[in-house]
This record gives sequence, C-alpha cells and structure tokens, in this order.
Amino acid sequence: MFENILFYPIFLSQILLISYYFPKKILTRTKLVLQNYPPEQYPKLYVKPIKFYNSVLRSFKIANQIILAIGIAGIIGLGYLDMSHEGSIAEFIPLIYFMIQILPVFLMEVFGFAYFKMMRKADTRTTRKAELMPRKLTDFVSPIAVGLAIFMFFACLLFFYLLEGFQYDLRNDTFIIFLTLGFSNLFFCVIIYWNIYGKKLDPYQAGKDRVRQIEITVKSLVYMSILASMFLILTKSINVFDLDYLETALMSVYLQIVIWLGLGSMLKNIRLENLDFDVYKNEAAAS
Amino acid sequence: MEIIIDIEDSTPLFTQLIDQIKGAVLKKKVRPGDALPSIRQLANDLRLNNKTVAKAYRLLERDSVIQTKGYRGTFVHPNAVANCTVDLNEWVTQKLTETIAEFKQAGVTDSEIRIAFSSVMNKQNI
Repeated sequence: MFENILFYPIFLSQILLISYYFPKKILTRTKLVLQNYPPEQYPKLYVKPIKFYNSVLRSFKIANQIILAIGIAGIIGLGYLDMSHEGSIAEFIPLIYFMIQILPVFLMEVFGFAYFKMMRKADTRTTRKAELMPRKLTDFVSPIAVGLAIFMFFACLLFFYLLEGFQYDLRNDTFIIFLTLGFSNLFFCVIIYWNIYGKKLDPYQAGKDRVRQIEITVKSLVYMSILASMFLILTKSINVFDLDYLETALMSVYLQIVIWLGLGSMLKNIRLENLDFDVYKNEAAAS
Repeated sequence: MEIIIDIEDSTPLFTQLIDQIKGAVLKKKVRPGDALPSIRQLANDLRLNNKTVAKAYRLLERDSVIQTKGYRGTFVHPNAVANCTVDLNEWVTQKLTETIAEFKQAGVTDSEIRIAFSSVMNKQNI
C-alpha cells in the first residue's frame, strides 16, 4: 500500500512534467520567437515559410497531448489493477513511459539538426569568423565536477564489485554496470567533445551565445554522469536492504531529475532576451 | 580576438590565416605564451579543411610565430612579435633576384637558369 501511495504522485509528476510542463514551455518559447522576431525583420532565422513552423509546433503539441492522455489513462488503469512490484513489468513502467515521453523532444532535436543544416546551406556569406581562443573542458565546467564524475564512476563499479564479494564473472552486475555506465559516459564524452570542438550548427550564432550553450550542455552532461552513478549505487543499496518497493518510485524521480538537468537547465539558462537575434537580420538592417 | 577569412578572396585561405594571426600578434591582441585554438577547433569554426589550418600553423611554426608543445597545445612564440616582421617570402624573392641578376651579368640565359633551378630543387626534394 505504502509503495502505491508513494508511486502514484511521483509517476503523475513524471507524466505532467515531461508531457505537459516542458512541452508547454517549449511551445510558448517558440511562439514568442515567431512573434517577436518575424521573418520580415529576421530573414536569416527562417529558411521555410511561417506555415511550416506552425505545423511543426502543432504536431509537437498533439504528440505530447496524446502521450499525456496515455499516461493519465495508464495511471488510472494501474489504480484499478493491483500493481505488483515483484518482478512484474510495473518496475519498468516509469522507464518505458519515459522513452515514449521523450520521443517528441527527440524528434524536435533531430528536426533542429536538419534545420541548422538548411540554414548552413542557405548561408551565402563568403566571410567566416572564428575566435582565436582555445576552448577546453575546464572553461565550461569545474575540474572538481569532472573529477567527481570520474570518481563516482569508479566508486559505483567498486561498490557493485564489493557487494558481489570481488568475484569476477561476466554475468555479474558489476560487468553489466561497467558496460552500460561506461557506454553512457562515453556517449556523454562524445557529445561534450563535439560541442566544444565540433562544427558550429547555427552559422549565424553569436560567439557568446555559443559559449553559453556549450557551458550549459557540458555542465548538464557532467552532472547527469554523477547522478547516474549515484542512482545505480542507490538502487543497489535498496536491493541490499530489501527496500525493492521503492525502486519504481526512485526510477521515476531519477528520470525527472535527468529531464530537469537536460531540458530544464537549457530552458532556464538560455533566455530569449539574452540571445543575440541581430545576427539573423539582413546585413544592412543589422548594421 | 576574432579572425575573419573570405573564401572568395584570391589570397589562399592558409595565407589569410597566417596574415590574421600575425596581425593579431603585432596588434598585441594575442601575447607571447597565449594559447591558440587547436587545428580541429579552428577548422570547424571556420568551416575549413583541417589540412588548410594545419598548413597555416606549420608555416607559422617555421617562422617561430607559434610553437607547439605536444599535447598541451599551440602557443604564441616568446619572440613572436619580432618574428612576425620577418617575411621569409620577401627574403627569398630578394635573394633570388640578386642571384639571378648575377647569373645574367655572367651571361647565363633564362632557360639555363630555369633548368638549373629545377634541377637543384629536384635534387633537394629527393
């Protein structure tokens, strides 16, 4: 009973946060851009007619509404059914639903990449600019945070290894954790490297805006790495202390923190009023 | 410090890069010991081939305007300001002009000079 009381509000919070709160924020923000920075004044920002953007936003809104409805229906359904945590699918409900929830955001991200590519193609300027300043990881995140992420990775492995009595077996949790956490950390490293040294996606983006965007991305990923290790240590501890009933709720909390760190920090820290939109004006208008 | 290159300009891209970096050193926008972006970073930011930036860096290093310190990166040379004023191209042109004038005075023909020059260059490159 206690686990249900704990699980329902937390899962409801996951449904509302990822399928209502953040999509609403994204939509409001995008509509503000369309209203305040129209194609007539900021032509470089638009490589497609305005109708196109409205239809993309509408699709995004509908997709999130459908996922929200599925979530609400699911939580009501779970209320009627007896949700068992003992090895049933209930343990994975927050994760499976999360995968569905982030699908529209993921598609928007893919659309963003395609859009920037179109912008680069449409860019007819013959001059190109670059800062004669090196960028390095510690410019964007403190070395302590990086060190902590590395420490937590090894601490997590050691913790699992310790609980398994230092027995080497490829079927052990330690090896599985080493692979999954290792690969996810490697994935984070690739994104960080690509952000710092990779191609500039938006050809018009002002230098300081790019630096701020890199900083937020790098910080989010380093914190996510620390959080992932902490989460795994916590879930293993829960198993050891026979508190398995907390696992599903904990998973949902973890996923919500991940979204806050990723999408949330991006929306909170990159404010429209701080972005340099003058770069999207025509040269004559901008000067 | 921002560097700007024009891809439509008749000046080769690597020469534009060299000129801009030397200009930054002379204008004290970057100082001896300052770190410079990596080849990959600069090439990606300017949407150029890595080889173009590498060539510019190689020539700047030859002129002792910059120095590479292994994995630590590339830095402005301690004597960069003085070395920026030395133009090796100009020096080569001047030396060649003097030598060719000497040859001509001795009665060597243009084609003989060209053949000899090519032959020496080919031997040097073996």
